[in-house]
Amino acid sequence: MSASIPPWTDDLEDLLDAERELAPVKDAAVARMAQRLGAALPAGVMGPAGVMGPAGGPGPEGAAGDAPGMVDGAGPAQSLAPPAGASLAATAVTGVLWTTQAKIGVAAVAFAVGAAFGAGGHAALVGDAAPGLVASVGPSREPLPAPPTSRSAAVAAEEPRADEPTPEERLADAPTPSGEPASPLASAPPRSTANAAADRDRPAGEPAPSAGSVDEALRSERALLERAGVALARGDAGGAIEALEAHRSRFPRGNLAEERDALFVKALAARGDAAAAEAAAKKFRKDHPDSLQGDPLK
Amino acid sequence: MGGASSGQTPSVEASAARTGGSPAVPPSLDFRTIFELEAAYVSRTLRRLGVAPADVEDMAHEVFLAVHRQLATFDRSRPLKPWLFGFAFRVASHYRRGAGRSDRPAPTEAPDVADPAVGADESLEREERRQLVLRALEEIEIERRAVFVMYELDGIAVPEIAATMGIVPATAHSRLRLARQDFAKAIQRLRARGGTP
Repeated sequence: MSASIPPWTDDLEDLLDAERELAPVKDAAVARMAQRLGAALPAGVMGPAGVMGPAGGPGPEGAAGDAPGMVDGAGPAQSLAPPAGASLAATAVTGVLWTTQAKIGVAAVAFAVGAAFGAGGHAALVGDAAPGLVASVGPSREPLPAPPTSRSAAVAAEEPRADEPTPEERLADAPTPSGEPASPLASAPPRSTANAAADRDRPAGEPAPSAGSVDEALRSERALLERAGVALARGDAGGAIEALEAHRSRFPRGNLAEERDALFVKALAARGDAAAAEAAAKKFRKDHPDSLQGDPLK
Repeated sequence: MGGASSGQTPSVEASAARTGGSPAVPPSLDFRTIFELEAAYVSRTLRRLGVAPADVEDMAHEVFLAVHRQLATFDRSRPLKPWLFGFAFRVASHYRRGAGRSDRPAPTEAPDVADPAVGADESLEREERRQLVLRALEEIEIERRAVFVMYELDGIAVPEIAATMGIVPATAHSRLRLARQDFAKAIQRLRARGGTP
């Protein structure tokens, strides 16, 4: 061993933290990859477009769009505008999701999506069921008084997703009008209602972001959290954790980061991983000292 | 943050992820779902293993084609990320030997996080630190680096790392220790050479 091995210091840990925090991977890149895979793999493997699949899906359209799709702004043109039926389709899918999972699923999902949008956005999502659900999981505890560290303050002030989508990115994330599988894992997010909710509930004082980027990011974020919430309600803590980690990967400091982190604690606890849940709860309190969700472990 | 006072203690979040971040894969997990969940992870892993930003999408494509071919062999009682890491490692190793490397120059990449509105300074500073980490990783021999990345950045437990790399746990521990030394030295060197983010 060398005589001059530098000690392993907090400073190195801090550096690694920067990389652990996970730079978001651009939706456009993921969409391009999905499109290429759809073209390269047997039909149906990439399935109908879902959370982040290309709007055209596999098959001739996907194949035709493959080459130009690698060039920014040159994707297929068929889905630039959201189809007129998107709102209804998304609502219908949401309805299916909610009714099939209603008995136990709603509490966790309501927890995931409720706090972020307030009553307005939430009611748009779940309709009349919302108040009771929110009450069952709402923030009954006092906010934790821990003082924010500089990092968590910075995190709290951060915009969800700042990279500006290219027209292609909007295209890639465009709503899908047609049939979605009933499986919660594959179901489409309620895009249109999310859109409206995001517009309505964006806090005043935030710099006016491009409406497209925020709405699309929010839709993707919410889809992942819904997936996690449904999985958790089914007792599939592993599936919930997968979805939450996917969210953390793509939106490390997204709009719904607080909800994600709270759900993550619950998912770890649900899996019986008490030590990990405790550690995650501790991190939650540190990262979200002003959270209204209280202690996610209680 | 980080419990580095003892020198070898992973940070709180890393240990939380280590114990909690390796869920068994739900039986319903099909290829497309794996892609949706882990495309970002695979892309990031390829970067950490030395794939240039301009080539990440191409290499990720290779990874997922291989994943698709091998999906039937995946033991669903095992966690997903280390399995995917194995593919990324093979593709990245191949890439580093010259295959698949494009001519597109991207030595000074633009930050992934372009944040003109809020916290630009903070975001920029984090990005600089991230780039420093990636450059330091470049200087670690790839088999050591793989262990380091899995342990330090992905929070994967040593036995799982050993299984992924086809080595015994003692070897994984040894590589981790050496990689930490390499990393610390590389950071020191890079900082001496340039700025100090």
